[in-house]
Amino acid sequence: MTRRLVQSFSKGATGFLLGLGLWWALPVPYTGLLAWLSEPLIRIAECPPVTRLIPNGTELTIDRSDFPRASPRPALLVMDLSSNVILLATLFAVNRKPLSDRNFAGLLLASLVLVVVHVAAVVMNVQSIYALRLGPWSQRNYGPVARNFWGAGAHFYSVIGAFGAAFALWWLFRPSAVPAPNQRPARRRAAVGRLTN
Amino acid sequence: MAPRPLRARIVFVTRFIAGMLVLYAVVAFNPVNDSVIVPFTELIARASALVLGSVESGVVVAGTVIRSPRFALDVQNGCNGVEATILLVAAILAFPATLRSRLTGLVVATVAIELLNLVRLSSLFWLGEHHRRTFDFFHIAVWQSLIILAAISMFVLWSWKFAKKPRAESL
Repeated sequence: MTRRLVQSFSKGATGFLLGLGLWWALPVPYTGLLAWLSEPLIRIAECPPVTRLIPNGTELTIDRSDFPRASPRPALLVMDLSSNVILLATLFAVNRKPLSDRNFAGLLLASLVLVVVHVAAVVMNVQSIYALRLGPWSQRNYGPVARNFWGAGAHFYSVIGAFGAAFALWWLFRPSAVPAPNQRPARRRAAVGRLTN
Repeated sequence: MAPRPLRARIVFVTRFIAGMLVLYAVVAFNPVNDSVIVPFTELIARASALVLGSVESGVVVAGTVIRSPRFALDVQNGCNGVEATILLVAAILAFPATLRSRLTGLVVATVAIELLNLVRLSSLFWLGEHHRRTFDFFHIAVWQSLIILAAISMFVLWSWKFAKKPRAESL
């Protein structure tokens, strides 16, 4: 038990550092990717479509063609939204055979779904800014239910949803500790065959 | 239809997400927040100041704010350990186990998380006072992940030790 714990701890520490490095090294291209994926989704619900998400280093600047020219533009810090990638990398590193093909395939699938989660988080946060932080404009365009919905959604994601999503994806996509029936050792299958014949 | 282990995982994740949403709705409800979460956060702030008082001088608390002549830290929702506890409670409730195992896991793990959270708040305050430039990095990237990792580790340990073995294996 103690040896297993020490092994898990060292694997987890390695995964944590790798995830931290990834999160620290790639925020600028990832901000561009999230802007490219999220902007069309936000514009779908708009008539006319006016929102533009402009990647600006590690920030997403939110612009609308109907904003007054002189007013400041709100921005989102993408690194805050995507920090759960550190947790996901750590959890996959703790799996029994972290360098196996199955673990890498699971990590890849989980990471792809995590990108979708990040896109949803960007949409939620942009809507939350529209609904709550633009003063009289927010009051005019968003009712109390919409303001509560988008505000609570963005808050939920920031305090717990981001980490819950990483944990749920690890749980879903981690390789099973118990081999699937068609992957059991041949000797066992032969024995079952003898019994049933 | 999904194979049995996959189905069991999907059921667990569905229950886990539902649990998180319900628990979040409960703690975000204004009367609960005002009468339970805020006083609890003030208690956490006072306990952190007590820990800090053993290594720093001039640390005082006002409500949820820990203050010294050089730095102040407002302990808000998300920094009081409640979010990690919600994740842990949702996972333990979603996992097949006896009521007694669940209660044991909930009590032991919640206390452990809050003790670790005291270390987080004290170390963040110390960093804010002495190494201000690294404060944000440790606040967002390191400690948030570590607290949630601690909660998940406790859940995994609990599931090894206490959960109903036959059904646990299928997950």
